[in-house]
Amino acid sequence: MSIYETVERRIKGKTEMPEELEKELIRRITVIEEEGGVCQDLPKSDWALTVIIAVMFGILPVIFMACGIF
Amino acid sequence: MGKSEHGGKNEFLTGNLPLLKEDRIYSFFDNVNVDVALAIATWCFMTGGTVALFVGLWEAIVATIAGNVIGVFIGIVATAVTSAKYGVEHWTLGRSWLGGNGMKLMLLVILVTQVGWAVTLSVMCGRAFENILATTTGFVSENGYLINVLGLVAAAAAWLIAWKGPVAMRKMSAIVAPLMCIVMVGMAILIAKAPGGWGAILDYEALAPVPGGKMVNFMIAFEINIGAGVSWWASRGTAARLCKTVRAAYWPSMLGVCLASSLGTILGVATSLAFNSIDPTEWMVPLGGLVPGIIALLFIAFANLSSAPVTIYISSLGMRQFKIFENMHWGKVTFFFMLPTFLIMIFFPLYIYDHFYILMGIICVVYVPLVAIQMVDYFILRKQKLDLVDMFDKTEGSRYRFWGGFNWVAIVVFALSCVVYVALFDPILLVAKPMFVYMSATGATFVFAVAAYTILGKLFLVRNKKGIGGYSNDLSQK
Repeated sequence: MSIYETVERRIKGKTEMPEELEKELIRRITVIEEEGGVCQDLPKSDWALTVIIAVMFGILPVIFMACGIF
Repeated sequence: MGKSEHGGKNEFLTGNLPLLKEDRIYSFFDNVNVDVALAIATWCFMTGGTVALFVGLWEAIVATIAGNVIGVFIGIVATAVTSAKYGVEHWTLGRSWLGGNGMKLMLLVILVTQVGWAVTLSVMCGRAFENILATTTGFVSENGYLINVLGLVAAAAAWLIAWKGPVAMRKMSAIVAPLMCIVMVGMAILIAKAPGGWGAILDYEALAPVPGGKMVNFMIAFEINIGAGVSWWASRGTAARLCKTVRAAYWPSMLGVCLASSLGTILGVATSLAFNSIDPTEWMVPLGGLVPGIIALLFIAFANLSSAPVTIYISSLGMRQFKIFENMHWGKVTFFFMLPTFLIMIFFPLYIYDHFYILMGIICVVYVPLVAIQMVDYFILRKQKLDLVDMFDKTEGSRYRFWGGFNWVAIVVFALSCVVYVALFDPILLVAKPMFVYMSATGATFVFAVAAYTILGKLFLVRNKKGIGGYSNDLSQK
């Protein structure tokens, strides 16, 4: 059974949408299911950079202020 | 179904269907513009004015940058990534971690805050035009009725832009973002050229610090900025699905919003300390002189006209979660969202504007537990995998129905987290409790919500043998 058919079997008639809109929804979910999402997740390097920014500019300044360094 | 059958591409952008690659209209640069135009609006001046009550300029700079970094990070990390990855807006995603009815319940609270933002922006826009009129013609309205009229016109203009949808908002932002950056830089230069310059403002004391010492006031300033950062949660989650990549959704929000709103807030603090007023429309002309001041006021007015439509857009999309609005024409949905704003602008426009800090307080109490729960749900309990079929299935058979449409585990953790927040900090009266200074209300609430939802979620959701919530089952087996 194709992904489209699987999605259709699971959701048809359960969305409270007009029939045409529901068909479009099934098509879109199928595309997303096939590709595991519309676009790729953030790479690990981006997460690492986020943590560095959060610590350097979010947490350390408050600790420095509490310690009287700032 | 062709695009034309549903009125063109905008019909998808203003609906709840997942957006595919070909529908997405925001590049990295576009999203930077939208974020900067949104962030740099006059609400950051007002936040700055509130911060200036508690701390001087140097502490405000530290509290503003740190607070915005933490607030924006926890506010957007889960919602922007999931929304961009799956192409689904913030509110529909909410069904996966709150249940359909639970999400509607929270949505009602959030819509109230969004009306508050729309009113604040409309009033600020109206005041900017009122000051331009007063400066150029000397006309001052009796009983201040001009605020009602001009604010109402501003609200109507914002509504019309939102009606046009994200494409019009992108065009507006592309103009407003650079203009507001120029205003910011201009303000910084004017402050530097004023007698004493930045050095003099650094020496000014806070306007109305609370008793308890410097650190308590610093932590309150930090808390206010976290609230400002977290407040981007709903809007960034909804805009993320318009972006072509997850990076285009994530980094402009992380950096653009942080930098732009921090800069605006710090300028707001500086001018508030110098002019003893939190309203930028009052000090623009004294600061810049007649012509530059009027030009800056015009920019501010238009900046609010670029921010308000984003608020209207995300809120109106949220209203589509209710059956009555689900298939309604976009223009009508946006109108119904704006109706309370129009009424407030007619009858008591200044009430919310004058109690801006209460709005911030409500946002802190409500949003911090919600973002913590969403993060745990997506990253820890679901391991970054959602099922779109369950998300759009509105029958009792959907695993995202939880118990009667409510994820009671999330709702109980939310309620307890709100209690933790209020036990540490009264956001309405801005009164800090003794433990507040050591952990901040947001920090403690966030850690509590993460820990509580992780433990309770694993016990009652992941290990649920009936597969409620869809945590325990292999999604492909349904």
